[in-house]
Amino acid sequence: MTTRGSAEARRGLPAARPRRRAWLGAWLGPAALVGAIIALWQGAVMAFGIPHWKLPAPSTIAAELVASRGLFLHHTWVTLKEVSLGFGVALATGVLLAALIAYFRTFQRVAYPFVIASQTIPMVVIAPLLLVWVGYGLAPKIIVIVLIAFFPIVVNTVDGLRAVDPDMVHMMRTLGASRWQVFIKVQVPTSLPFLFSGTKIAITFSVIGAVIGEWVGASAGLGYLTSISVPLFLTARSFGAVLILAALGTALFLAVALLQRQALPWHEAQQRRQALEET
Amino acid sequence: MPPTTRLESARAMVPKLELAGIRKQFSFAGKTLPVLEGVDLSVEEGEFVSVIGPSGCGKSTLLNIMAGLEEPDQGTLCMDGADAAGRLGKVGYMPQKDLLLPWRNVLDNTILGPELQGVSRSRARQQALGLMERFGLKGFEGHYPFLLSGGMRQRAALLRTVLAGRDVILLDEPFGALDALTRSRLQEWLLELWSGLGKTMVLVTHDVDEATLLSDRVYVLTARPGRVKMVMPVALPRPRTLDMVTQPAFLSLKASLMTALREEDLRAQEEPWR
Repeated sequence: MTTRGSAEARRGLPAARPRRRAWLGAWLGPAALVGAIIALWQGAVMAFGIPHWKLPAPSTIAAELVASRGLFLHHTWVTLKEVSLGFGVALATGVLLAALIAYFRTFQRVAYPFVIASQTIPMVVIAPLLLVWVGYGLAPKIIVIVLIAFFPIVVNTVDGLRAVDPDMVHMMRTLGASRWQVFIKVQVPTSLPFLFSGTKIAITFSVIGAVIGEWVGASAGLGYLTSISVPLFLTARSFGAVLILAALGTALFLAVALLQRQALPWHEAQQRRQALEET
Repeated sequence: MPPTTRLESARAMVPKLELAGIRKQFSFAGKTLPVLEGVDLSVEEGEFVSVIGPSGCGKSTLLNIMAGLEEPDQGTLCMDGADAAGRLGKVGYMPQKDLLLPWRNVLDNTILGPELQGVSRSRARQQALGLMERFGLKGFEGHYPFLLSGGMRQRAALLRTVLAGRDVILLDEPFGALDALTRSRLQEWLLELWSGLGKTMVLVTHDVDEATLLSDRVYVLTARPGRVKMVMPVALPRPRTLDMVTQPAFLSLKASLMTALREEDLRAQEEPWR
C-alpha cells in the first residue's frame, strides 16, 4: 500500500467528528442512572440505619477501597494474571480448533461433539476435581478459564470461516487460487469480525472463570477475597472486590472492542457507512 | 491432423475456444432440469463474442462451463485445439457482482491474480499502478471498495481479471447492475479497452444494444433448455462509437436480434416449466 493511498482512504471515510457529541449523549443517560442508584442506596442505608456488615453504604465501600488499597491491589494482580494467562490459552486453542474444524470435514465430525459436550458439564463439578488432579496453584484456575472461554471463540470463528460468499470462492478459483489460498485470503479475513465477537464474550467469561477457580480453592485473588470476607462479616471488602471484578471485566471488554476498531478499519467503516445509508 | 509446414497459419485456423455438443442438466428435489441441450460455440483468437438469450436459458451456466467452474454432462470443450480439462484458473472470468474483497484496498484487490500465481506483491503493484489511469481508478488506489461507485467497482473488478493475464476473458453481465448512463459509458470504455488489449472476450448479456455494439458475432440462445438459435455476425466497422446505436445498419441488426429474442422469450413465458 502506498502511504499516499492510505491517507486518501482515511480521508474518504465518513467523518468521525460528529460522533463525539453523540458519544457524550449516549453516556450521559447511563451515568445519571448509576448516580441515582448510588444516591438512593446511600440514602436508604443512612435512613434505615442498616448495619455495615449487612449492607455497606457506597461511602463505606469507597472508604474500604482506599484504606485497603494495598490488599486489593495484590489480589487484583493475582486475578489479572490468571485471566490473561487463561484467556491467552483459550484464544490460541479456540482459534486453532476453529481453523481445523472449518478446514477438515473429518476433524469437524470428530471434534465438534466434544467441543459442545465440554459446555454441558457444570463447572462447579469440574473445578473441585481439578484441585485433586493438579493441586492448588495457578493451573486449575487456568484450566477452568480455558474451559469456559474457548467455547464462544470456537463457535463464532467457525461460523465466520463459513460465512464466505460462495461466489467469492468461485471468483478466487477462476483466478487460480488453491483451497488453502481461498482459506487464508478469503475465509480468514471474513472470520475476523466473528472472532472479535467471540473474543468479547470470552474475555468476560474469563473473569467469571477466575472467580470460580478461586472460590473452589485458592490462597489469593479477588474471588478468594470475597470468599473469605463474607464469613468474616467484612461485607464492604467483599463488595469492593466485586466492584473491582466488574470494572476489570468491563475494561477488558472495552479493550477488545478498541482493538477490533484498530485492527479492522474496513469493517468498522463499512458498518458505519451502512448505518448511514439506512437512516 | 495432416503435417504442415506453415505452422503459423495452421494455428490461426484453430479457434481459441471451441465448444461442441455441450449438454448440462441440474437435478434437485428428484426432478431433472435440462439447462443446455447441445450447444456448439466457437470463438476465434482476439474475437469479441456475445451470448444473449431469454432469462433462465442457461447462458450463465454456459459461461461457468467455459470458466471451468462447472463441467458439462456431455460435449467437448477445447482451447487452442487441445482438450481444456484443467481450464479452471486459466480462463479470465468476471462475474456480475464485483466481489472485491472488502478488507483490501483497490490496488491490492486488483493484484489478486498475480499474487495467487506467486508474483511478488511489489512487482504486481507496479504493474497494476501502470494501468490505473486507463481503468479510471487513478487516485483511488488506496480506497476501500465500499467507498467506490458501482461503475468504479466494476472497472476495478475488470482490472483484476485483466491483470490475471489470461488470453480469454469471460464477462457475465458485467454492467447488469448499473444505471443506464453508467452502463453505456462503460460499454464505450470497454470497446476501447478491448481493441487495445487484444484479448479474446466472451460476453453474456441480455442487453441487445450492448451485444451489438461490442461484438464481432452474437449468439442467440433458445429458451430453456438452451440451444443456439442463431449466430449473427456484426459487420459494423471498427472502431465503434456509442452514437452508432442510432444508425440504420445498427438498427437493422438490432431488429433481427430482438425478433429472435422475443420469440424465445414468448416461448419461455408459455412453457415456464419446460
